[in-house]
Amino acid sequence: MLAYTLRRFLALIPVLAGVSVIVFLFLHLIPGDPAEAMLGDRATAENAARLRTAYGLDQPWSVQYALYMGKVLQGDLGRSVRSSNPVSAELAQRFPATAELALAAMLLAIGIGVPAGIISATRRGSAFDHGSMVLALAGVSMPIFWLGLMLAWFFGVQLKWLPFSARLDTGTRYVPLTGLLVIDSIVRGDWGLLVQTVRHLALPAIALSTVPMAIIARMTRGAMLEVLQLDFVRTAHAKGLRDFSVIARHALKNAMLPVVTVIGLQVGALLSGAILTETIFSWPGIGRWIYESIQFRDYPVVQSMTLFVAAIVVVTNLLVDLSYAALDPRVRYR
Amino acid sequence: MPAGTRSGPRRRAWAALVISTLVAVSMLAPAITARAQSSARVFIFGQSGDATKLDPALIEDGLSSRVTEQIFETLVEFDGSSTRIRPALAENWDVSADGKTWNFYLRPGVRFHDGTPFDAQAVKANFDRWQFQTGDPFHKAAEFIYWNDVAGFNELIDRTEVIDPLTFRITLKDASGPFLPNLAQFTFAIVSPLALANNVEDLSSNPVGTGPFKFVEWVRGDHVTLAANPDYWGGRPQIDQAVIRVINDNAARFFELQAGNIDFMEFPNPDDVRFARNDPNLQVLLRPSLNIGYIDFNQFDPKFADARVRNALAMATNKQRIVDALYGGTGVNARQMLAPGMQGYNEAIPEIPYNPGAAKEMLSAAGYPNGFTTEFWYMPVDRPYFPNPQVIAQAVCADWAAVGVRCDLKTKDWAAYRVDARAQKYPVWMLGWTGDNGDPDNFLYFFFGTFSGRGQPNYNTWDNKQVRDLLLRAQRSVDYDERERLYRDVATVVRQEMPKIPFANTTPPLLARSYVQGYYPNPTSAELFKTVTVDR
Repeated sequence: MLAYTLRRFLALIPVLAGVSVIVFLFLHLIPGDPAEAMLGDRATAENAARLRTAYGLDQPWSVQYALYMGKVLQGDLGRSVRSSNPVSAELAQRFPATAELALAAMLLAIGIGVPAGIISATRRGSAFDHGSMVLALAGVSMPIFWLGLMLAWFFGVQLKWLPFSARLDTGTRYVPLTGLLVIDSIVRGDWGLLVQTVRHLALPAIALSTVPMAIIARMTRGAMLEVLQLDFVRTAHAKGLRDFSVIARHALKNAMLPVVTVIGLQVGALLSGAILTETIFSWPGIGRWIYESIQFRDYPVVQSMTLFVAAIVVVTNLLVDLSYAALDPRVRYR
Repeated sequence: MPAGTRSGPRRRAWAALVISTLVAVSMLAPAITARAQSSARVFIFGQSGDATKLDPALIEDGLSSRVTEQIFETLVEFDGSSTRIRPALAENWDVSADGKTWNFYLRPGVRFHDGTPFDAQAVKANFDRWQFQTGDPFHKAAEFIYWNDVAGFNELIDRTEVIDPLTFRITLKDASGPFLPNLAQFTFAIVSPLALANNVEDLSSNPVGTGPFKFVEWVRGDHVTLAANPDYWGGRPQIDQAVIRVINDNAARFFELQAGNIDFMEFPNPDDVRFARNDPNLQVLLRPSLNIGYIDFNQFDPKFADARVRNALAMATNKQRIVDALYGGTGVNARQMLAPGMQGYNEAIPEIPYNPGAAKEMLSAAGYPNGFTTEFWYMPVDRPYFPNPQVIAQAVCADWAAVGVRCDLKTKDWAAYRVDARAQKYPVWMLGWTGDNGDPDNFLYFFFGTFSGRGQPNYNTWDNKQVRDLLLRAQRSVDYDERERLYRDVATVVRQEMPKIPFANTTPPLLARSYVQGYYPNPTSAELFKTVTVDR
């Protein structure tokens, strides 16, 4: 197991190196560069060239790549061309916002998606089954942008129940501990801050959770339907076990393997969905930062953030792979 | 199956449902906004993106300058809603007869937010930083974009001197008509020399100026908070705090305004402007026009090298109808390549007549009796001077089709679009310009002042030496009447030759809650919060 884990971790290195090369190449293939983006329409050829020299953009891309990766390996993600800020400092400030939003969305997606899938499977053909699967289909097909705006308009503007932008009310001063506001407010015992945080999280988390929730619900239903037909389930029922026990302790554990795989894959979807969600709900996370940085051709930010997000996705999926053994004793790692 | 086997879990499930509903409702209960919690007079501005830096010398975007203009001041500034120049940190000034030597007489008794005095030495420290990077090893000269590229001060300014503690002299290499309006731009704001010495690497985290507001905090991607400066030389602002919030999405920003969570917003969608006009809680303010949207021709393409073809297409375009239909009441049919009211705007020049019959005849005379087919490039993003460019392009091309000119409509990513437009890769394209300082040089010299030849990056493909000479003379003159005459002459030639079709000037709308008073929209977007009141 340990050897396997180590081997898998080492295999991540070429994956991430490949990602970094692809991102670097694509960024440099698209027309425009930070000098053009900053100077805008005023750029004369000479001034743009001078700015390129200032940022080292006049070097061959292979040299730029080598310099960049050399720094990354030393833990230096470079400086944003646009803000001059170290990328790592800004990442540290912004990532907790995205992490909190993505975690909340994932909790919602699993917390509602898995039970909905189980109930649909155990009551196949019922009104609940039909209703939840229609909702799931709607969830998968609904554009997050539209849904976000509708949620903001209905719950924020019309009913005035929930705030629909930023992480805290305007004027709330807050010194970050972990940067995860839910954790910080609990650690500090600041219940007012906790309520404010959860209220601000609600709408963006709902919007972001829709697609994964729908996919998880459908996958859980399918997997459960398959397992519920197996002999051991019938045997469990025949032994006189309660329905709940049969489903929760026996069927669900066997059905979880594909569900966990899908949950792992949804981490990537959540992080890309965060770009839109953060834009609509003015959430100061990394999604919006990446989006703005692409527009301004802020190479250091886009490169480092893509690498960072890719690392999260591959590590999560590795953890998912490793969790198979816990779920299914037949799985052995060599 | 016995009933009891199911009732246990089911009851638990119901209990869980009830508890979670109660928790959710309790979360909704404190549905109060931040406003109710505080009695401070706070003005909340919703803007479409975050500032990039708060070091005025290094910024080149309106999102950053909105913040820095409240903290820092320039020697001279734009007056309220116009581009007239008024005193700011300089009480008055004079210029030598040859237009090269400018003396600025500084306002006495002004202090920076860090308590240090503002004087000619402080001004000199800032000019030396821009000119020689003195005291600033962290920022490369090329980063001072406005100094180098917009105002061209690196070429223009010969030397600067401290004459006495309250007199600062700038000597230019040549006389310059737009010198004073250039100096009023946000980037030439005076930073505390102490802050420069202490933290020049990242002034953004510690911006110290003389302005009506002091910096409090910047949560990147979220908001900047400023507090009223009680010692401001012009009197304490009427509001206690200004918060500039980042709300990227136009629709979401409008929702926040409707909900009363912000007091003011920029860049509303055209439909929301119509909505706001009918909402008694909201008001629509119009920023005086300092922009122009135009259709450009690549004159290295033989078809468009012929002025008859360019004039024919201008006459074939029913601009008035398009502006009326698609600009939401905030645009006017442009007559020339300036915004109305600017110096040099030639009132004698009439609107371009819409006359498809005459256009067809002119095309025939140019050798295109059956018209031709051309690529027509439209911008992929909305700009103030072209709201919804795709629909506008379709409308223009429908007009052109009536005279036999068929469009192949195309677009691409915005950054790439501009690069390729400047590289002259399109035959016909839409573009526009928003002025920096209200001076005609800032429009016309950019449009027609330089010609680089085929393949050299330059938006201008019109090789007209007469106009280039007129523009250079106007640039080197400080005589208002002479400049006026020269720019009017340029407008006359441009009308005859039609190197670009002037399409529309717009007055960009701003939305506010109805209780906001004292906000003066400025054509340059240099808008100061010091006069704003929020009496809810």
